[in-house]
This record gives sequence, structure tokens and C-alpha cells, in this order.
Amino acid sequence: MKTFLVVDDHPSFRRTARALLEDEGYEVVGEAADGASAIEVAASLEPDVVLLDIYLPDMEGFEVAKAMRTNGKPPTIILTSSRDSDDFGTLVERSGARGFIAKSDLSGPALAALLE
Amino acid sequence: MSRTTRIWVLVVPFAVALGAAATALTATSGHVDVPRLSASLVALTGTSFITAGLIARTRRPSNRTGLLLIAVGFAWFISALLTASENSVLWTLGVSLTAVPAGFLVHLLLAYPSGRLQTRWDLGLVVAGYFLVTVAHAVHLPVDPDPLGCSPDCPDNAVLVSDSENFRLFAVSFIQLVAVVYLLLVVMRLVGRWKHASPAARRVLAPVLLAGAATMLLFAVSVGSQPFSETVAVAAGWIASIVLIEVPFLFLWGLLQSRLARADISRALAEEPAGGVQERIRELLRDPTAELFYEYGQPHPRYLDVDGRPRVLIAEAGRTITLVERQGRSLGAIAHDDALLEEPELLQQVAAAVALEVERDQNLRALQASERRSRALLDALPDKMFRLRADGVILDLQENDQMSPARMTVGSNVYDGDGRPEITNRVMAVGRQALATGELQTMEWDGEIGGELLHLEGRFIPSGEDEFYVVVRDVTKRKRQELEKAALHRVALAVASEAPSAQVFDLVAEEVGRLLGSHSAHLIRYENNASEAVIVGAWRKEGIPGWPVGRRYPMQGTASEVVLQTGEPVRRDRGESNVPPELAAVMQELGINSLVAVPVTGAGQIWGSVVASLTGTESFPPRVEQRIAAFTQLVSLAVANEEAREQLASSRARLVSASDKERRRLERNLHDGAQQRLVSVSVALRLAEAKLQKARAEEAADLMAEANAELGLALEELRELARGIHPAVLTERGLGPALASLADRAPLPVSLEGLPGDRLPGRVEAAAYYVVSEALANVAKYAHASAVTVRIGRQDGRAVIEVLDDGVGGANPRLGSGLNGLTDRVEALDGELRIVSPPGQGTAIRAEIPCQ
Repeated sequence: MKTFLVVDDHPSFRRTARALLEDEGYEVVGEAADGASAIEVAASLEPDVVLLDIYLPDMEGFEVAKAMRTNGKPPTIILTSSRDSDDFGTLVERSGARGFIAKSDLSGPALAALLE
Repeated sequence: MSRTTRIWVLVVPFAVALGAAATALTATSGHVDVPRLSASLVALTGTSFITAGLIARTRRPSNRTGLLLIAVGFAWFISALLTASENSVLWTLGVSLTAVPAGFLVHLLLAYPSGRLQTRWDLGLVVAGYFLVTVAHAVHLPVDPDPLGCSPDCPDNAVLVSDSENFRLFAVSFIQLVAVVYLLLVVMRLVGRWKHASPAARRVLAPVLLAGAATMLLFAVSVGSQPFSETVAVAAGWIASIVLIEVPFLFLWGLLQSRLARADISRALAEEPAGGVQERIRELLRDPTAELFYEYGQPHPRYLDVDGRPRVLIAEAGRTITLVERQGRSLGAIAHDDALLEEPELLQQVAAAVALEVERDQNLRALQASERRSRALLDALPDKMFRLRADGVILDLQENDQMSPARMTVGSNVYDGDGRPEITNRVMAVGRQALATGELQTMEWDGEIGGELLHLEGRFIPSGEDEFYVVVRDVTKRKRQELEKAALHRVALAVASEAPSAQVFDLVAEEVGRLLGSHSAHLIRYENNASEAVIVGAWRKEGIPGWPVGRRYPMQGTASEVVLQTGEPVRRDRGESNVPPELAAVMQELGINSLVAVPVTGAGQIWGSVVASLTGTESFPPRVEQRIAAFTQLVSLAVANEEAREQLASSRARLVSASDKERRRLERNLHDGAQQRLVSVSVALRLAEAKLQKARAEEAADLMAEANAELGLALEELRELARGIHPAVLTERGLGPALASLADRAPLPVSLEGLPGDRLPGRVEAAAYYVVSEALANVAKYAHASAVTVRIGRQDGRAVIEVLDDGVGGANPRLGSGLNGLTDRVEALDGELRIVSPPGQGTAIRAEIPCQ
């Protein structure tokens, strides 16, 4: 069972995301509300996957992803945002993340497609 | 033999012969009463008339008065001769002619002084007179046996027809009556002429007319009193005869008088100043109406009176114009009374004397005019004039004393002088060009004369093969005006083309600096209540130290401070007592020897100053700061424009930036708020769907409830956002309800006062709403206030919005971008926003917006 870290500054989204992931059979090992604590938590908990919001109060998700790649065991990173992927151009590809799922499209099949 | 001589030759022998005969016969006559006295009277009367007549005829050949006088004299002699005769026929003839002299006398008096009868009345009287003295007078002879009352001593009446006393009495009485009436008519006519005569005419008429009228009156008395008193009649007859003798004498006296007057004329006029000539003419002609006109203008003469007024030369009724001429040249004219024509000699003499006087006067004026022209020419003279040979030798040198003497002498060579060689070379080159082309050449150059830098203009005029004149004029003033005009034009152009302010300010500094011939110039703006100066424009020559644009320094002790205090230009030179230590330090630092600061005004206030400096040992010429002040006043206009433009541009920039910021805020709000919530709802619904499919209805219900709550929050946030963009309540219901809604949502108590019942213009309502909204937001964020009062009012067509809090105060409009945005919004509507926020005393924001 894959472990997940959910990073988003909106508690309502974190709550919903956790429910969805758990319903799909994943284990949510932690949550973070900003970039700095996300990097810290990821380093200590070493989750398999990080569901990472791009707009965070202290930094952008791209920077957080870059920082997490230097971890001893870098997690698979799935970027998310309430915006469309078109808004970010090539930034998603260049960030080294596995992929991008718009928040409104977040679902078990979408996650499974990226993680397989 | 001249005409005048001829009359003497013709008349004198006859007169003498006739007079002698008449006198001798009368004196020896047996029938004449008092023969010797009568003879004397005959001789005196006849001689005096003939003599006066001859003189008159000689002096006035065209005047008939002389002839009439002579006629009276001859008639007198003939009548006396005949009545002294012892022969009956001759005696009777003499008796019939006794009244003839009286006829001539009446003619003489009425025709006097011209010798011509002026009116039909006069002509009638004269004709009637001749009829009376001949035909009527002779009527009684046939019925009067003793017409002269001398019977029986005198001869018989040769024509006596009847000696009827009744006939005689009737005839004599009739004649006497007619004679008296006639004589009285003549007297009346003479008195009338006297009364209507001009002063000048009276002078001529007076003696003769008075004597004549008196004689006529006496004759009338003599004739009229005969029927009543023989004694009175005889006595009156004698007196009349004696008075009659006076008439020609009086006439002679009048002539002599005008001759005496003439002798004085030239002398009298010569002594008078030019302006008094007319008065003197009036005195000499005894015509107070006489006027003198000066002639000018060729070929059509025009006239001026003595006061210099133009006059038209027209002889009015009763007036005559006598021209004033000298040696065939017309100089003017005298307008005078017609009566003066009776004294042509007097007129001629006066006119001749006046001619001399006017000519002298004209010469004087010509001399004065010539002097004026010379002075004008002298004033227009060049400052310097050289005559140079092509090899540079100075042949002649003239200079105006207003310019310092050239350090050159006649005979020296300009190449050896201490002038700048490049100028000398140019001068000689242009001079040689003038010689080569034979045409006038010009050249301008700057030269220092007497320690002052002047702009000179030279004109080069070829003179002969190898010489030319150089006429040098100081055209500094003209050149300076041209330069100032061009500089101003450049500044105005820069402002008009909306060049950046920094560029315009640098240009102002440069133009002032260059016009003053300075080494550097700075445009300075006063800031922070004029406690500080900031350099906004700078210009300097290469290698000259200076301060950069943007540098701030305290005003204390600077020349700009004095400019601000006095509003006048200021000049400071190193080492002088009026340089305060602060300024001395700056001058030392920048190596400034001399500086000039002039005010720059904007919107009626001193906005800043331009400070121009000279380094090293150079100093500005005297009064240079006054000269440049006029220019900077004009520059001030450009600077004021530039300021206004700059403010407008920064206001526009703030509006654009505020608008961008507002968009970003909206996007962020949507993203962070409603969008996030909707995303959560979407995910939750999808999750709930999956739960239902797995028949986990309870979990699904929990998710649905959560989604529902999230949806409600999203809706609320969207509403709030929409209200922030533009509150619908403001559009739909007006300022009052919109502010009430704002107050309801405020986190602290807000009391609203004076909310308008009627609607204001949309833009005004919106501006007022945002003023209150932003102010309330600021109060909530910074003021630590316990309550706020919002007051809306209208005053002089303006909406007045006030927001007052009881917070900590100390709000700085420069720091709060929200307040700055409000200022722009209010000023865009021609309104005004004021913030009063003393520390510890709350904040008052007051906006006034015109409602038109």
C-alpha cells in the first residue's frame, strides 16, 4: 500500500483529498499546509507519493518538488492545483514531478493512471 | 513825368490862379459881408481841400477821395469868384452854384475813405444831393429878388421873373425844408456808418466823419433857423464854414498818422519774439482781429496759425488776405479787416517787416531742426569706426565716448594690437572680401571691452582700391534677446513634446547656465516645507564638479534660501561677507567663485531656483542676476507646466497600477476562496458518489453535508467579491443604503450622519462609497479605534464626505497606497481629499467632490 503526503494550504481540500485517497486504498501518512513544513515532513516520513499543491503561501510547488528530489529516498510527486495545467506551461515537466492532476479531476483512476 | 507829378502840374496853376482871383475879388467886393474874413475863409477852405486832395491823389492814385477833395476846393473857389462878381449874369450864376461844394462834400463824406459809394443808399443820397444843390437850389432864383440878402449892394438877379413875396417865401421855405431833411439824413447815415464800423475802420473814419457830420449839422441848423432867426442862421453858417476847413486837415492828419506808424514797424517787430509777432501786427495795424499765418509745404502751400494749427486761407466777409512775401518767396499771410485796404502803405510796410521776421524765424527753426538732425545722427553713430588698409594699418579711428577707447592708434597695425588673433584674422579676411567684391560685408563676434563681454557687429564698407571702413556697433542687448528667445523656445518645445521631466529640468539648467556664460547650473526644487532642496536638473561644462540630480541638502544658509525669503535673485561671491559658512563650505567643495540664484515660480509660489556658478577665479558681470530673472520667469511657466504634467502622469500611473493590483487581488480572491471551495465540493461529491456505489450511504451523507456547507461558503465569498468589485446596492439603491450596508459589515460601530435622500451623480456616489469603504478598512487595520463617524453633506454644489475615528492617528497618506488611490480617484473628479491625522488624536478624512 502506497503512502501519501498531502500538501495544501486549504484545510477543506486536505480533508477531502485524505478521504478520497483512503477510500482508494492508499495510506495518508501526513499533511502539510506550506512548502517548508512539507519538505521537512517528507524528509522525516519518507512517503511514497506527495500530492503537492502548486500555490503555497511561502513558495511554489515546483520549488518544493525540487527540494524533495534531494531527499535520500525521493518521493513520487504529483502536482495539483485548482487551475488548469495549461496555466503552467512546461514548468510541470521540468519540475521532475510524475504528473499533474487538476483538483477538480482528482479521482482514483486518475491517480492510478499516473502511479502505474 | 509820372502820373502823380502830372496832377500837381495840371491842378496847381489853375488852383493858384482861381484861388487868388476868388480871394482877391471877395476881399475887394462891394457886396460881400466882412470881405476880408470872407476872403480868408474862401482862400483857406479852397486851398485846404485842393492841397489835401492833391496829397491824397498822390499817395492813393486809385482812390477818388483826392479827386473829390479837389472838386470841393474848385467848386468853392468858383462859387466865391462868381458871387463876388459885380456882373449881374455872373453873379446870378455864382448864386446858383453856392451849394455845389456842399454836394461834393456830401459825396466825399459818404464815399470816404475808399472814394467809392458802398451802398445804394449812399448812391441815392449823393444823387439827391447833386439834384438839390443844382436844380432844386436854383428853383427859387426866378422868384427871389435878393437870394443872398445883400440887396441893394449886390448885382441884380439876372433870372428874376416875379418879385412876389409869397412865391419867394414858399420857394425858399420849401428848399430850406428839403435841405434840412436831407442834411439830417446825411448826418444819420454818417452816424450809422460810425456805429457799424470795425475798430480799425473807426480809426480811419473817426476824424473826418465827425467833422463832416458836425459841418452838415451846422449847415442844417443854419438853413433851418433862417426863417426864425437871422443871427442864429448866420452864426451857424460861419461856424460851419470854419469847421469845414478842418475836414481836409483832419484827412491830412489821418494820413500823416499812418506814416508815423510805419516808421516804427520794423523796429517793433524786430524786438518781438517769434510768438508775439501776431500781437505786434494787431497793434501796428490797430486791428485786434488781424491774424498771421505761416506758409509751409511745396508745391501746394499750406498754412499754420501762430499756435501751429493748420488753417485754410480764405478771406471771410469784411476781411482781406495780404500775402507776406520776401524776394519773391511767399512766407505767409496776414488776414485783416477790409478797412485796412485804405492804408495800403501801412499794410505793405507791416507785411514787409513781418516777412523779414518770419524769414528770420524760419531760419531759426531750420537751424534748430538741423541741430536736432545732427544730434540724432550723433546718437545713431556707431560705437567705433575704423578706416583700415588691406595690410591692417589703421588709417583713421573714431569712437563714441560711451565705449572705452580701443587700444589702438592711427598708424599702427591691427595685427600688432593686443586683440585676439583669431578675431583680427577674421576681421581682416572679411575686410578683404569687401574690397574684392566691392560690396558691404558684415560679421559678428564676441569681444571684451572695458571688462565686459560684448557682442559686436561689424559692417565692412570698401573705400577705394586698398581701404575699407569697419563700422562697429555693440549689439549685445539685441543678441542677448535673440539668445533668450531661442533658449525659451527650446524649453517650451521640450515641455510641449512631453519629454521626460528630468530631461526638461536638465534643459532648463543648461539654458540658464549657457545664457549666463556660467560653468554649471542646477535647477533646484524646494521640498518638505522648503526645509530641503533637491536637485532636479543639472548642467555643467566638461570637467566642472557639481552635484548630481536627486541630491538633497538642507536649505539652511544657501543662496536658494535667500531667494525663497526675498523672492528676488541673489548673487554671492567667494570671500564676501554675505556668504554664510554653510554656503562657503559648498563653494569651497565645488571650487565655486561666483554664483547667481534666481527664483523659479510655479502656481504663484516660489517653487525652486536656478543656481548658476563660475569656478576658478571668474566672476559674473554686475547685475547679471537681474538680467536673467526675466528669463527664468518665463521658464517658470514651462516648469509649472512640466510639474502639472508630471503630477498628471504619476496620477495616471497610480491609477493603472491600482487597477492592475485590483485585478490581481480579484484573481487571488477567486482562486483562494470560492474556487478552492468549489474544487473541494467537486471532489467530495465524486467521493460521495463512489461511497454510494459501494453502499456506504452513511459516509456518503457525511461527505454531501460537508460539500453543502462548503458550497454555502463559496457562494458567500462570491457575493462578497462581487460587492467589492462594485456594490449592487450602490448602483440600484444609492449611496445611503450602500453606506448603511458597509457600516453593518464593519468590525466596529459606525454611525452615519446626513445620508443623502436623493441620488448623486453615479461617479460621485462611487467615489464617496470607496472613500468610506477604504477609510473604514484603514480604521479596522491600523487605527485601533473604538468608533467611527461617517458624515455626508452638500456644500456649494459639492458633496462633502467625512470619516472621523477616535483611534491613534498618525496616518501618512504617502505610505498608504489605499489613501493615495483615493486621492487619485477624488482628484480625477476635480475634487479634493484631505487627511488630518495628528498622532494620538484620531484621523479625519475629508473629501469634497463637485456634483456638476
